[in-house]
Amino acid sequence: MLKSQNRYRNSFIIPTIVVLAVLGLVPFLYTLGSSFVTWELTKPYLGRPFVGFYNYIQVLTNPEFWASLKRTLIFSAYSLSVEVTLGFLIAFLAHSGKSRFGQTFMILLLPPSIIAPIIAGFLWRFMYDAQLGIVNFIVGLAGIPPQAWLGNKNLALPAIIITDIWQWTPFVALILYSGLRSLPEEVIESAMVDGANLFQRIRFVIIPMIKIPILIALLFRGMEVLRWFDTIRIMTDGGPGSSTAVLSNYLYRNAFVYFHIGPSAAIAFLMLIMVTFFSKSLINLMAKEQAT
Amino acid sequence: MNPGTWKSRKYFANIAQHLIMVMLLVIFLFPIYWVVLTAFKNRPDVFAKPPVFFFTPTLQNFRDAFAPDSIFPPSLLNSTIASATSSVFALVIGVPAAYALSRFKIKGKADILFWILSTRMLPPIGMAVPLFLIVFQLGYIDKLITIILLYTASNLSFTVWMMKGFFDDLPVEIEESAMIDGCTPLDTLRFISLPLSSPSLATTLIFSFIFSWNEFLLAFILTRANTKTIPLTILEGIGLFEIRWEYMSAMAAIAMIPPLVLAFLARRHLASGLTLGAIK
Repeated sequence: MLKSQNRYRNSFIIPTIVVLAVLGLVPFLYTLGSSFVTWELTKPYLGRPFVGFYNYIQVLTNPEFWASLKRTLIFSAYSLSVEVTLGFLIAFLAHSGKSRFGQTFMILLLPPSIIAPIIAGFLWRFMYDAQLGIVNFIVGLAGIPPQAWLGNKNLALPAIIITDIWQWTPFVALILYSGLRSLPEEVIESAMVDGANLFQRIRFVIIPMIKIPILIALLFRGMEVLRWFDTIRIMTDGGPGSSTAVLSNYLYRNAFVYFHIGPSAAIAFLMLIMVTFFSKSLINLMAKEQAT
Repeated sequence: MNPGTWKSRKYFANIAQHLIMVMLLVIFLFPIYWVVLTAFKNRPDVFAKPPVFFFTPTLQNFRDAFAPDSIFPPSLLNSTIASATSSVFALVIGVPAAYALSRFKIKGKADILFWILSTRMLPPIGMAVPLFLIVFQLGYIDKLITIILLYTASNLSFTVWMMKGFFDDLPVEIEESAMIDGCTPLDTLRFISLPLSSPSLATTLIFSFIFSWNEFLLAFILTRANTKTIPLTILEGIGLFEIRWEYMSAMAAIAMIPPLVLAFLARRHLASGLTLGAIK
């Protein structure tokens, strides 16, 4: 482009950078700074003395932190793996055969992913209710006695995982469906001519070609699920006990219940590192796949 | 192979496929249907065991939601204003940036793009604390402009990524010939690229709106009585002793409508919109 366009270039981009810097970078730096001081909102007389990595050490030696990290990883691992597997099966189903309704089907399936997560949480809290929830009615038909799904510390986390799967599988399925639709037919057909049956076709031809959409789905869902808050808040708020307290609940308690600002900033930053590490790994994987 | 069995096998496979698709639709849409149904129920019907699917419907819950002292109508207004303005602001600020990132040579372009994406990686819950403290000290808690600005920032990174992807796919020839004819980049953007990109603009606007409408955390932390948005009203029915399920269902049912309608309008671009344009 011509030299004369330099000023345009700057004025086009600068507003965006300014807005994101002010509204994104500033709070971020503030969080970072807060993580290095002692800051108890309930004890203003303590001031905000610099304490180096003390908050981080406190957090990293706190068993509650590790417990909530473990729960986060369990929650994420189960949700993501089921969502991708189920999503793939659904996408494959919609794409195969001579059905003309594949596209419509995928769109009709999407509402769970479109409505607000907090509303999805409300829907399921209602359905899981021990007295008047319809889940107990339905499992009752299969002979299972009624449970307090969200009130039982062994069932609460699985119940929330199921809600997450319900909400986001359509989203993942849509991504994979778009991926499937863009696959070149000839490659699959030549595999069929070469004698590959359905399983072989899926395993050796389709899945390798669909790796990038899978990674994209994992990236977007993964970034969200590691810091998931809304649904858990309204369904169990981390309970019963702390059986569903994932990292974001742990952070929330520290910050807004106990007002330990220093440690909560440290937790936030640790979470950021975790999410960034996760995203970067996936993006690198994607770049590698795209290069081949 | 006997052509007869071949055909009937395919026929059954076809039936099975459609049957499973219907079952899946039922599974995934039932909870929404159930809550909408509950919105029309009277209290006793809500508590009925076994759950009832046929009952005398009532509009009372909706009337309660729109009662004069209810927080629901103001929150509808707040959500609409916040979502609409933040989406438009994000578009106005972000489209030129997306255009520049797509067309011009810029130093450190990849880094800038990654940085813009990274603003989406910060856990909102983590930023909630400093945001709360900053906003509180500035005295801007419970002011709509706060939410609008924050949603704008959030929508901005989405907008830039979406529109850049779109501009990348837009052929340059028309723009180049326009510039040879003497158009400035700004003119080119305004009179050529933008009209050509109106479907993408609409899609981006729609998804920005949906994300803002559904946003819970920041609104939860940064609003009090005056500027509550729709997602917060869901918590309204949770009292100390009881939960007013049917009342909340009515509000939830209404709250679900705008995103679903908008998503339907953008149905051709759903995969693209939900993944920042990563999937076309």
